[in-house]
Amino acid sequence: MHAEERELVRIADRIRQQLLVHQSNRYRFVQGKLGCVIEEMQRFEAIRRKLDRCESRNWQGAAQRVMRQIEIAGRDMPYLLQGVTQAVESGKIAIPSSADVYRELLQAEEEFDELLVNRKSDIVAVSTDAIELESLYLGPFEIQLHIWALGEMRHDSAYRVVALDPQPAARNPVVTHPHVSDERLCAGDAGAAINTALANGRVCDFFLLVRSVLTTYNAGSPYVAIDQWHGTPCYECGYTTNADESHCCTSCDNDYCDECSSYCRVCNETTCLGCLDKCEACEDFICSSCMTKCPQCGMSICKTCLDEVLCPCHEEDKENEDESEGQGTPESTAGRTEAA
Amino acid sequence: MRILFINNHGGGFADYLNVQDGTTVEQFFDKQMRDCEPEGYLIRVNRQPVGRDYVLQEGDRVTCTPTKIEGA
Repeated sequence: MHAEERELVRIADRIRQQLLVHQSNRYRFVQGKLGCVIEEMQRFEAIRRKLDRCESRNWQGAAQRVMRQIEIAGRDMPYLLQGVTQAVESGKIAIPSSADVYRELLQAEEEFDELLVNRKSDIVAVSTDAIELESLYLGPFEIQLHIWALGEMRHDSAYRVVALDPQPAARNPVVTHPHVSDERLCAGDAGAAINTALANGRVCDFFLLVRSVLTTYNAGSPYVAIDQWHGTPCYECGYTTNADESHCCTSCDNDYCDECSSYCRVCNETTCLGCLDKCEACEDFICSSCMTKCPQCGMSICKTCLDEVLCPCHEEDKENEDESEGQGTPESTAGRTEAA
Repeated sequence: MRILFINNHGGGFADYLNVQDGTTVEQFFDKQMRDCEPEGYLIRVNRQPVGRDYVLQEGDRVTCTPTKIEGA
C-alpha cells in the first residue's frame, strides 16, 4: 500500500510517540543506575558508622578490618558512577517534532521510490533493488521498521530485513544474505549509526544505512561466505553438499560428503577415509589419535588392542612358550626313574 | 554561519558547525571528511541531493551517509 499524505502524518506521529516511550525507558534506566550508586553510598554510610564506633572505643583491630571493607567497597564506586554517566550521555537525544519525522518519511519515499505502510502490523518499509554481491544474486530486500518496537531500549529489535526473492545459503536456509540471518541484520560498522538514527527519528538515514550494509560484502565475518553459498564441496571428490550432508573430519578439519567420510571404531569421531588406517590386530579402521605401535614388534595397532594385548606378536610368543613347555615334560620323568 | 552536520560515518552524531560564508558542499566535505572520497557517500543538503558547487547557507542541514558499510 502506498503512503498517502495523511497516512504519513499519522505514521510520523506514531514514530514520535514511540520515541517518547523510548526516552521514558531511558529515564528509568538511568534511575536504575542511580539506584545502584545510592545503595553503595548507603553501604558506605554503614561502614562509616562502624569506623566511628571503632575509633571512639579504640578498637584498633576492628578499625583495620573496617578500613579493608572501605577499600573493597571503594573499588566498585567508579564503575557505578561511570554507568550513570554513560546512561545519561546516551539519553541525550533530541526528540524530533512530528514535522521533522514527516519530512524524513518523504525523503525515504524519494530515495527508495516507494514507502510501504502496513497499518495493521505498525510497520513502515522500503525495498532495495536486487542485490548482487560478487556475482552472487541475492534478490531485493524489504527493510521493515517496526514502529511498535521503537520504544524498546534495544533498537536492533525494531527492524527486520526480509528477502523478497529469497536465495538462501545451501547450508543454512535462514541466511538470505551474508549478513542477514533469520531476517536480522548483523549491522557491524553501521550499528552505532543505525541506533543513533533511530533514536533521533532519522528514519530515512536508518533505511539508507541498512541498504549500505546490504550492498557491501564483508568477507571477514559473514554468516555464510559467498564462496560457500551454494554448499560445501567435498574435499575428496568435489561433490557439493549442504550443511546436513557434510561431515568435518576431526583429523584434517576438511569437509567431506557421506561417501568419503566414516568414523573411528575406537573413539567414534567423524574421520575421512584418508585419515583412517587399519589396525593390524583387529582390522578395524582407526584414526591417527587412536592408533599406536606395539612396543614389542612395532606393528600398527589400536590402543584397545594394545591394552588388551591383542597384537599378533603376543600370540606367536604364547604359541612358542606352549611348544617349549610341551617338549620339557617327558625329559624330567625319565630322569627320576633312572635315579630310583 | 552555522549549519547542522549529520555524519553517518561512525557514530552518526549531529553537530552544529560554523563555516565560512561562501563554502561549497565540496569544500565542506573535503574539510570534514578528510581522506574520504565523495563518491562513496550520499551527500544531502536539507534532505535533497545537491551539486558539489552548491554554496551552503545559514541553517542548512547537511548529511553524509556512506554507501558501503561492512556488516558482520
